[in-house]
Amino acid sequence: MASTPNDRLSAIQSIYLDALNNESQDLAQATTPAQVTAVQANVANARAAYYAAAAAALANAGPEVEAAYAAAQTALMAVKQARADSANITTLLGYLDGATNAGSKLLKLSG
Amino acid sequence: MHELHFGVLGRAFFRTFIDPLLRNWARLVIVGFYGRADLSAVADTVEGHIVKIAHASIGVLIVLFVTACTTVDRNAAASLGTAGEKATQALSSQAAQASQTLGDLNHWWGIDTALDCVKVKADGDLREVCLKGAVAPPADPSVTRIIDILAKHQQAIGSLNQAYAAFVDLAHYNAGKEATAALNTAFSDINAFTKAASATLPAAMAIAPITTTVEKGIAGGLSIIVDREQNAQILAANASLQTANDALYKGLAAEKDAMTSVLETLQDERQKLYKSGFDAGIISPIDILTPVYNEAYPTLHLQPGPKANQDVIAAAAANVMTVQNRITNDAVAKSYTAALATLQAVSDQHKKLAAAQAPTFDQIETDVSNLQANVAQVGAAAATTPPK
Repeated sequence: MASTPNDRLSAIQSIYLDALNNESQDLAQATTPAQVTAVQANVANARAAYYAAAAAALANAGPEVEAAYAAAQTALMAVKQARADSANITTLLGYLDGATNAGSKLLKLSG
Repeated sequence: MHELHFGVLGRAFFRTFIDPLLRNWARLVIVGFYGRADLSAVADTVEGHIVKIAHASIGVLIVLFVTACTTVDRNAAASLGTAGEKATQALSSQAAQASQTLGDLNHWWGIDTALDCVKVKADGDLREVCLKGAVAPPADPSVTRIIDILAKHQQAIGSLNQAYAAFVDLAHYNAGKEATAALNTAFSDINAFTKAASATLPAAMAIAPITTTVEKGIAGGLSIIVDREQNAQILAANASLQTANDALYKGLAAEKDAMTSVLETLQDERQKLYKSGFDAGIISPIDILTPVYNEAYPTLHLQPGPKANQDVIAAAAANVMTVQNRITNDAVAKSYTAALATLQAVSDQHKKLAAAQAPTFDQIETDVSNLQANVAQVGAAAATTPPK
């Protein structure tokens, strides 16, 4: 079944809330200045994508949008799995970046 | 069918009784004008024109008479206006809460991002790097757009509230001009809101602007005596208020998904603000736990607790926040559903008044109470009162 605009918004929201609610723990894991900056940038980017999505229609549909929607969901699951596995910060940052990029791509294609 | 029979009978009545009278009268006019009674081709044409004009005049008089005789239960109209005022008042408080919290977001983010740096390892220059990156963010343009939609939403509801107040006045006394002015403002503000809310919809679903017909209704009644003119005004205003209600409904339905998502996210933003303050040591979990204990045991006074138990006390407070969050998120979704149900209930009663049926107010009162309860629950999160 094809995703709805509300499904897409929820996917982008989940990526932001994961970043927001875990920001302090992620900062606690950072061991280098670059990692600290990456955690902060990730929250800012996920936030910008979420509020832009809330103010947009996200009405475009089609195979590309569905692929982006699926990719955003998969990327968030990867982040959650990495947290559950207590993955090291370098690995986690890779997944966080992947999820935020996937959310931004979904916004761009559907908005 | 009835209309068809009425039309056939009416024409027969005209041909049998009215036309001969009109033609006799026309002949007298022609005799008076030309000074003789012979009906030449020219005189026939003049007679035909006079009869047609007379037909049209009689038609207009009948329409005006029927309009003037329309009865309106003014007490029912006033009660409906009062119910509309209450409904729009409840809707207004829902929008006001969301708008204020969104306006505070930049402050919250500025605080969060700085306080979160307490978690960064204090050795080396990590904390310095963290604080350098923890600058207060500039106003997010998307948040600004959402605030703009909510401001227009609030303005539209406020002016519709004023239009209902004017409708109550119109039902009580001849206040047509005031009602027209209030309705025009409401229509203009509702159009501004639905245009903004349409930005969150696919282009094909954009909401069409509405126009009021109340001025026409008032102009149509001017030739009738004041009392009957007022009935026509009330019916015209009733129709316009229903149009305004239905447009507001479409606007709220359009923004529902996005705004529900935003309002839910605001609860997470609120909880994050608490957590950052707690982690930095400027918030005591006792402040979160106290209202809950007071609800169960009003005379208890909580102590800060031993230092060794702070993590446990903090976990208890976090659980309270999580439960509060769930309850509030549930109330957010329900408050939009209740707002739409309230507008629908008011619209249904406008239809009844238009059809000369007695409006009923039980459903409106139920929906308004439901809306108020959910809005109060969302507001309780802002006041950090315990969940009930």
